[in-house]
Amino acid sequence: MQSYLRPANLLIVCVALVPVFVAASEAPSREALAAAGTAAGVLGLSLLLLAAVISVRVPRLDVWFGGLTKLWKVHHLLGAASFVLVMAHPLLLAFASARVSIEAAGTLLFPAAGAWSVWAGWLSFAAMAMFLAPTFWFFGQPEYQRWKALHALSGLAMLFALAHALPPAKDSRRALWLVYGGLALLAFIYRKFIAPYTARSGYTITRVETVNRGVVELTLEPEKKLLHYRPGQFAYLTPLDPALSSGRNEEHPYTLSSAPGENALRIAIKEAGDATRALQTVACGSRALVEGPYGDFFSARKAGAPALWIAGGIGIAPFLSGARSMTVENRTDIQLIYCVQDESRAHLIGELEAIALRVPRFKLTKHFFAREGALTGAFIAAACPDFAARDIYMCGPPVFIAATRRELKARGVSGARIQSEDFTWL
Amino acid sequence: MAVKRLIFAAFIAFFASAATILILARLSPDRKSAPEENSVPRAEVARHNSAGDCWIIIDGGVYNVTQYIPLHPTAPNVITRWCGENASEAFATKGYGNAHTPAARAMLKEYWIGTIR
Repeated sequence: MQSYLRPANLLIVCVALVPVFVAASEAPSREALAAAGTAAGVLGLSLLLLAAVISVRVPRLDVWFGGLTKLWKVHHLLGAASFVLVMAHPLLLAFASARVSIEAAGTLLFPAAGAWSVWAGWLSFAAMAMFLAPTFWFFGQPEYQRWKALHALSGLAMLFALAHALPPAKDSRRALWLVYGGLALLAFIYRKFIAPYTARSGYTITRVETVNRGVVELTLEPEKKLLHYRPGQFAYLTPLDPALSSGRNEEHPYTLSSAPGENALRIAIKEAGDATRALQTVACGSRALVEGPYGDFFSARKAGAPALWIAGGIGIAPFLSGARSMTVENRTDIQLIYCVQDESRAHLIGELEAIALRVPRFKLTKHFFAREGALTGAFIAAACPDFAARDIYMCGPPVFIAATRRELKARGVSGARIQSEDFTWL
Repeated sequence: MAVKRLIFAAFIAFFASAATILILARLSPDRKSAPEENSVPRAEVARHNSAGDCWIIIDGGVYNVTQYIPLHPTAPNVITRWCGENASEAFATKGYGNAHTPAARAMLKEYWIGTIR
């Protein structure tokens, strides 16, 4: 479990609660059920709008949340809480009305056609249900691009929700909704309609190196300025090669495997779906757009402390970036445990071994699942006896991360020492 | 995964609850839809002017809202200041230009006792 106790997250909670207190202060001694119903609606809308605000995805803003992956988790939880509250809102109000008559409760939920602000609420809920059903896997795991297209309905959900909430609100609350709603809609418009044209930079794919079966490393040279980034960060890549069988003009996040000092970007991509499979044979010389950087894997706050890096499969990418940026004078003790199925799947192992020979304080240990089974605490202790005193960074498939985290915790490593990145559906 | 299951369960529960309310509302007998003629003198309304005995006039109808005061989602004095009075405009604007909802009108119907003479 990641820790959610960050100033940015606490700020979100406080900002979300402001409209609730304003609404409560407007009508102080409300009857409990109706008060709960109103509070649920107010907080639900507040969380919906804030979820939109933080998803603006401006590079470096995510560092406040501990990186974009953690920011998306917060966004996901805000959306989940909003959805539940938005459902509780009309039910609680209807239950409150049911104490007078069941007819009033029915009218509250389904009034005559002219009560358009209530119907705006229903339309907002319908839009939410449509874009959140795939998010919460109501019909199984959705296809990424379809999920993303449906998620654009969030704009409509916010507009209808504001049309529902603004008319009955008094001035102070109305002003708050205009500010929150304005920010949320600006974030939405920037992300959907402005950033695709202004925030992405043009690159040319100058090298397509197959490093293993199903794994390719692309080299991208900038048309103008090179992205400024730190090791372990990632970027959104939009390939434009017209010959791509899938994923053309679609953006996906990939970890940068190059060192920040290089004059080009490198991205190691393992085939995991249609888009990544198509990229294995992307044309050399074709164009691509890059937006970033995102993430805070090697947190700048901890730079210089002895570290243990644990990679699973293609999870080697951020560590490749870190290793490639090491110089012989590197003064930080780094132990890398690189876990793969067998020798044939160890991507770019030759280059890592060469770095380990050249850099005295960088040590590399290979772990093969086929031969040694799962990565155990005993193996980690043998490879890196002082692991408990180090900052531990893990990247790999979610199952691998979860299992390794259990092994580490069983040996007394506190969660605060472990930093992990897994690229998966939330 | 736990969050996803919880959301799905809440989604189903929401529709089940909303549908139940809708069905019950449709099935419940409409007691006050055709009220008997009962004309109430203005002076009679004026006598019921306290929180413990509160009649109000709205759009020519007389309503005994005594039982409703604790259920109203505001401080009691928002209603009690109108006990024994004509509250049509207050009901129409809530004092800041906003009309009551259709649900509020449906509730009001439950407290009807006659029309003003």
